[in-house]
Amino acid sequence: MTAFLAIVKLTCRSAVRSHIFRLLLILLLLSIFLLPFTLLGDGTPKGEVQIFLQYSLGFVGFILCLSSVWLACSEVSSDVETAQIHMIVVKPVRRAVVLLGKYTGVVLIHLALLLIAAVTVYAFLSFRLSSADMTEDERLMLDEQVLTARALYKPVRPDFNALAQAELDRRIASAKEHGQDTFLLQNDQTRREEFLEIRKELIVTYGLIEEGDSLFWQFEGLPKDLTEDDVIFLRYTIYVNRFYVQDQNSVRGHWIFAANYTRPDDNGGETVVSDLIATPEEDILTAAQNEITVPIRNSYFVYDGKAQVGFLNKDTNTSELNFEEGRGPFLLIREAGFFSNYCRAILVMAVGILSVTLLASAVAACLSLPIAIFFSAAYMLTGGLANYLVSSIPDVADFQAEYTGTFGYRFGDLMLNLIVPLQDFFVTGHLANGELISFPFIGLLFAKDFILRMLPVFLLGAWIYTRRELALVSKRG
Amino acid sequence: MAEAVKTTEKSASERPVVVSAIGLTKVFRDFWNRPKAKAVNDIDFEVREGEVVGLLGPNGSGKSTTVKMLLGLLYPTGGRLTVFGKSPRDVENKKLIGYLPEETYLYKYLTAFETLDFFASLFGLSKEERTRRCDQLLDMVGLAHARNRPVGEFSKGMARRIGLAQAMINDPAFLILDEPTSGLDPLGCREVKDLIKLLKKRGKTVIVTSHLLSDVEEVCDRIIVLYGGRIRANGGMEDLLTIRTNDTITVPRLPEDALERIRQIVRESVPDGEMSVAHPHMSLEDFFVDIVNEAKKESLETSGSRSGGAIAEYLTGDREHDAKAVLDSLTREEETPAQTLAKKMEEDAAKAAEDAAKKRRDDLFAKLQATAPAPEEEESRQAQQEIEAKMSEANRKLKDLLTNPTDRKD
Repeated sequence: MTAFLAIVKLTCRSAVRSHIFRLLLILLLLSIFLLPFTLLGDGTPKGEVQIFLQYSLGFVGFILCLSSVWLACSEVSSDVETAQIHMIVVKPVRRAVVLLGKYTGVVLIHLALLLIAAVTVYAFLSFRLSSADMTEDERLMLDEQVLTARALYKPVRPDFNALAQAELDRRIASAKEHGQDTFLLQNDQTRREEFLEIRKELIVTYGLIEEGDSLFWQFEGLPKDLTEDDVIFLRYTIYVNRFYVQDQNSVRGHWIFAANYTRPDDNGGETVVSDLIATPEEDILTAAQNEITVPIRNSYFVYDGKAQVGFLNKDTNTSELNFEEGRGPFLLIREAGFFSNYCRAILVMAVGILSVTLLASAVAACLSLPIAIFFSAAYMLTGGLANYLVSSIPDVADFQAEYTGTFGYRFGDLMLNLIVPLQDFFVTGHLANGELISFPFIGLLFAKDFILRMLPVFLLGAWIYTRRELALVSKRG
Repeated sequence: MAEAVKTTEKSASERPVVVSAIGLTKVFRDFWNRPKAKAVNDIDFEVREGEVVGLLGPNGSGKSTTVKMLLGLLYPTGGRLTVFGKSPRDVENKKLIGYLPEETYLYKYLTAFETLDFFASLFGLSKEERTRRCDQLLDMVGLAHARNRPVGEFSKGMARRIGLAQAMINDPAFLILDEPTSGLDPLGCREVKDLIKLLKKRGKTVIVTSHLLSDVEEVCDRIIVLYGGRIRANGGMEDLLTIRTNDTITVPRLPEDALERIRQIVRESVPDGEMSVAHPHMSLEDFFVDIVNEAKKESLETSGSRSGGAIAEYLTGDREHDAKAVLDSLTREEETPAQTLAKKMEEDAAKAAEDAAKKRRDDLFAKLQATAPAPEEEESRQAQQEIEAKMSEANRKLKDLLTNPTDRKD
């Protein structure tokens, strides 16, 4: 233990003397104090706070990840290259302990920095909020939508496979009925192709609402112990037509909240509740994230953890409105305070530092400094690319649509199963949107990224490190 | 003489084996795993407890490779290598080993004390023990005054001294010193050699590699000469270096007539051309050390490393008098620090020299008696008595000379 602590201490001392580390430290300070002033929000206090949280903390996380990669690589591999390691491994200390000591040293120093940065950002935010000049409404909106921690509930996704199969069966039956010798009856392959085509069409058209039509979404798993004081928010983004168009327009429509269920009454009988409450028709900005407060009593709207929300298209200027898969509508319900959520976001960043340092230490245990840094950077870049490929081609794997899309998706999917995308640890977007960063989410992240992916890489690196002929690598020897 | 050597070797062979190499081979390979160079080629050797072994050879002969294999920094390609009966990679074994690398790789931002403290921590020593040892070692290597200076500011010699100190931090049973005197001033070289001799007296096993053959000659019992990765010579220093075909007689300066008589006696046994008479030289190192010791007596200041103090208390194996040792080391400043050790070593050397001189004198008498002409017995007896008296006088002077080093210049 004495040896381990000595190596940890030495690593920390060595780290603070690294020039690049000092440079990154200056960038860190700049990102906390100067960056918020260089960014413009939407002009509202809410927007400003969101920008501040997202960019300041995001940049802090990014700098700390970069710095931990650099330091871990440099601490582990430069010792081998300069032969300083010779003086250590000839002492009765296991090489795994040396590697672990260096890892711990780098992690400790970065966790300390993260803590300092987190406290500073929080204090700075509190100061700005206390001195900000805003109306009562603006402050309420800020408190309810940003400085909070709300759980996000997604609507139940229709079983597109079952729907597609039903449609396929219907078409086959119809063909048989009319005695048509269509390609559908020829073989499994053609039927499979038709099935995928139907499914694709169903997904694309699912969120489309023509003028005068409405679409309802079913929500399940909502909290059953909601009180009337709990506020439920609806978040959504509307697009015009089926194509993903970023142009912003103004369209018209109603949101409809349905109370549609049967529940036991006080007399032992059952009461059928069937009611629709709509918001007034209003102009809605398209291709932008909107949020409204659900205007009905919670006890009326949510029953047995279930609720229904619908939208009625009243826009006469466009042919159809589109709610894209994965972009809402969502229901948000407050579950914790902002401070708690802030701490959780910092915890996720800490898991990120632990993971990234683990990777860099493992790589540097086997490779030279430049190659180790290149490898770590390539790893993170591939993670980012894979994440982009997978998230930008929703559901393509199911489609097996165009070859390139499929290939890109499959590549991204494979990469994401092997490596950890750095984005996983940047949850400042959630924080800025007042979304809850739940403990199960953090636990899953830790188990999936740290234990299942990074730890095996580290163990492999440590195994190689303990078996390397360290005297073979030396710039001075 | 031959019998004496055999006796020593026999006693050495009874001691436990510290290093055993059988068919040791190391082949360096390139990226594609193709053999690039055979640095060590099927060598066999043993080092036994208490031996001081010199590993000699020109650059690229395989010395450093062998040393690195002993330390587990390189792995043998072939053969068997054990240190204390275990693999060189055994972690527990390393508690018994001290290593001074060819270049001292230190963390530049650590001070001298912190450096030693760090290496002591790797042995799991307690804080008190670490502080005690570090202070004693800094005193021993003459860097107590630079205790809180970053080692990055040190000269090569000072860094070397720190390197030596860290190699001794665990009071190792087996010490590997790779070029221990490189970068050191003659005074430092002498201290290192004195230290090695002291370690030998304490029964420690030492392997020394050096290009400075005089260093090796002075401290080693045995040398292994490597060339091209193979052992070219392996044996006791006495065995390898004694020129058994010649004799040397060292006496105090004799009057010309006595010298002439000796010449005459010798001339009867050997042809004139093969005999020479000259004054012996002291080594340049001895001369230099004397000068510096004189200067130190006059308290001349230097900003570099000072000559080492007393051997660290914990290294002498006497742990009961720690407090006394600290007091002694504090009050000993007036005395030249190297002298205590030097005096001790010289007493040993004097004793050895006296024994050797006695033996040579006996041999000489035996020879003189054997070669003396029989008819002039009375004259011969007188001459013998005269020579005996002179030899006795010479012996007395030799003894004085060796036990009183400051007189040596005279």
